[in-house]
Amino acid sequence: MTEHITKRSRNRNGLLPYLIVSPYLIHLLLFVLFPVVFSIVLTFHKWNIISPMEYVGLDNFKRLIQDRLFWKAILNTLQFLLVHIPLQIIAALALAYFLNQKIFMRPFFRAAFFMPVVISGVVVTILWQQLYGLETGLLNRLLIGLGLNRVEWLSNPVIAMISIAIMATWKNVGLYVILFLVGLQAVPRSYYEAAEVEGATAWQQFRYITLPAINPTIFMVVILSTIGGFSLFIEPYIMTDGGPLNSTLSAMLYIYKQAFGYYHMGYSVTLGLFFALIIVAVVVIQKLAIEKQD
Amino acid sequence: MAVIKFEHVTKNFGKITAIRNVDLEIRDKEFMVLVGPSGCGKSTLLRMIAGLEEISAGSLYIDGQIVNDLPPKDRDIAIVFQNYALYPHMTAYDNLAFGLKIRGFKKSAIKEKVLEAARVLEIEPLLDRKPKAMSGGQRQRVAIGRAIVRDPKVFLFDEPLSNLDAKLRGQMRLEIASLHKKLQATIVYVTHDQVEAMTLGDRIAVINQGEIQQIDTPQNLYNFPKNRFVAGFIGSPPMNFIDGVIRRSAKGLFFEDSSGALYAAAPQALEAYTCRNIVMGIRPEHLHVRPEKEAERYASFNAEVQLVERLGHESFAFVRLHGTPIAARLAPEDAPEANTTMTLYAAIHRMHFFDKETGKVIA
Ligand SMILES: Nc1ncnc2c1ncn2[C@@H]1O[C@H](COP(=O)(O)OP(=O)(O)O)[C@@H](O)[C@H]1O
Ligand SMILES: [Mg+2]
Repeated sequence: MTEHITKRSRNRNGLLPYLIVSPYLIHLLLFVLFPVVFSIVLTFHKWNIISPMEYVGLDNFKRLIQDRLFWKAILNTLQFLLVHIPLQIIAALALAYFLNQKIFMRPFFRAAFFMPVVISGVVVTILWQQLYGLETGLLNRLLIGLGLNRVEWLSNPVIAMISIAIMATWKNVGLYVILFLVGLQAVPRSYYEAAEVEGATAWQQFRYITLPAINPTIFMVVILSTIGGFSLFIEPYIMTDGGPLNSTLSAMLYIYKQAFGYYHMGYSVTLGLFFALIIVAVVVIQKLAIEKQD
Repeated sequence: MAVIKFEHVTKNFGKITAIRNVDLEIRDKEFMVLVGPSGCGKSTLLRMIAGLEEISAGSLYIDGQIVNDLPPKDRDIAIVFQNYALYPHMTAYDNLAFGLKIRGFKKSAIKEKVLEAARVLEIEPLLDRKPKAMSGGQRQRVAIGRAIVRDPKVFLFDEPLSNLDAKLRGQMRLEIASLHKKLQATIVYVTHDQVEAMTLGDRIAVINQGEIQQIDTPQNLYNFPKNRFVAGFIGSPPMNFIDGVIRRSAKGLFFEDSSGALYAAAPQALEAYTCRNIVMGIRPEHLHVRPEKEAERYASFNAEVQLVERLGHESFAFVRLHGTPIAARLAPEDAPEANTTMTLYAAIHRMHFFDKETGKVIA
């Protein structure tokens, strides 16, 4: 019966269904399928965009394995994530917790924390560059004003990546605040009331009711900020260009430089694919860890 | 010991007055039921006892001490919520143990108390299950378990049975009644179901629109409602109300309904209402197909039968007296046929008379 109808309508409508889905198909072909196939082809070639491609076999992979700077960039990125993810979760959860209370001008604050998310990353980075300025930056002036030592926010190789992690956290926190707010508001009030009658303090209510209840949100935020953190690019690109001493060279920035700094297209694509595998591996490990905890 | 006393208590939510000038004293070890239609303020009253709702005006006493500003945890009460509010990520055992853990009891003492409560409620097999893996009735038991495990002096129940099916509700009703005997504690129980109220309460407070209409024993509420609201709320099907006037004749005062089809001798107390409109109320069970007892007086009237409900052990006839709907509870063999005319006998000494404007009972 169904078969019969499908057949008939196909005959009757001819190409129309294909026409209707064609914009999506064209998009898929042009921007997804083609780049994927092309980049896989590229990994076996040397290409500088201008001269023709040259087949090099597995040379790109061999080079990757020996490329100490690439591994440093990966380590830098992981170091960034190590600071960024916990900071992101704690900051977002704390803000969401307070924005969920009956506080003064709540709608204003809720909107205010979301602002940096929608502001262009370039603008945010330039703004923070000013804040982090060694001599004239607001942060150092405050520190000096308080009688403390100034901090080499961006020029000390140990601190620079942490500074970038703080900035990235500030930029994205609004998004995760919203996710946490949704999670917090889904907890029925009567849970808290029951706990209050039983004598639980605010901290105990948070620890034994709120945290378990928003566990799924926390995991979502971990995974989202991992994926987002791996693509760290604009901040070091504008602020430090990967310096000092390559301490803020992120994997994405290094891949970009290989492609558009040195025009090593084949090599950069190889790095990109390899990096994508690392991201997938990390997220899968996180997911397995989460499922095990459950 | 736990005596709870409301003194001129008012509760406003912004511009809404949810509770208006309530005076109510709940005695030690009493089972007090707060009953009324949805939105009348029952939960608000209960939550004020728990300390979950601030009191806008007036005083609340527990055992003679003003508790307006006392935090919930210091009131020695337990509350069972309508939606149970069991912590979803904890097992039944942990749900029961939570309050004890918070209060710093030793592990062994907690275990002893939890197992004892579980035994009383027969929920031992559920102890390592999470709420998700329980039926509504089982969750209900665990929620009650969580309340009794701390052995508080007051138990508060907010419509605890409203999420259960009819059969389970009947069964839990009996269990809560026997639990009250066992626990020897003061219980305040909120419901909108008058059957629950009548069967459970030592006394019942009937509430409407934030005001207490009447506080009395179930039997007294049924026999002597103070106003038309209480008369209509207690009893099912509800009391019939018939508009009419009080007139005077040579034999004394009598009530005449507005269609002129029903006459009944009226008490002398209604003298002041002579020639004034009033409302007469009579319960369905006090209408009969024939005079029941020789010593009593009846007022007979003819009515058109609209609908008959046969329940096996009894039947309800829904009739009309010139447009006024009237329900009569009859023996099965007395049930009339629909779309016929029947004669009903109203027991005169069972009639209630209400002021038409104020709704207050006048005789
Ligand atoms: N938190 C609140 N904010 C505003 N109005 C409320 C709040 N809680 C209850 N009310 C109002 O107070 C009245 C009584 O509510 P409630 O005590 O819950 O009624 P019941 O339990 O008898 O159904 C209702 O009109 C309700 O809308
Ligand atoms: Mg309620």
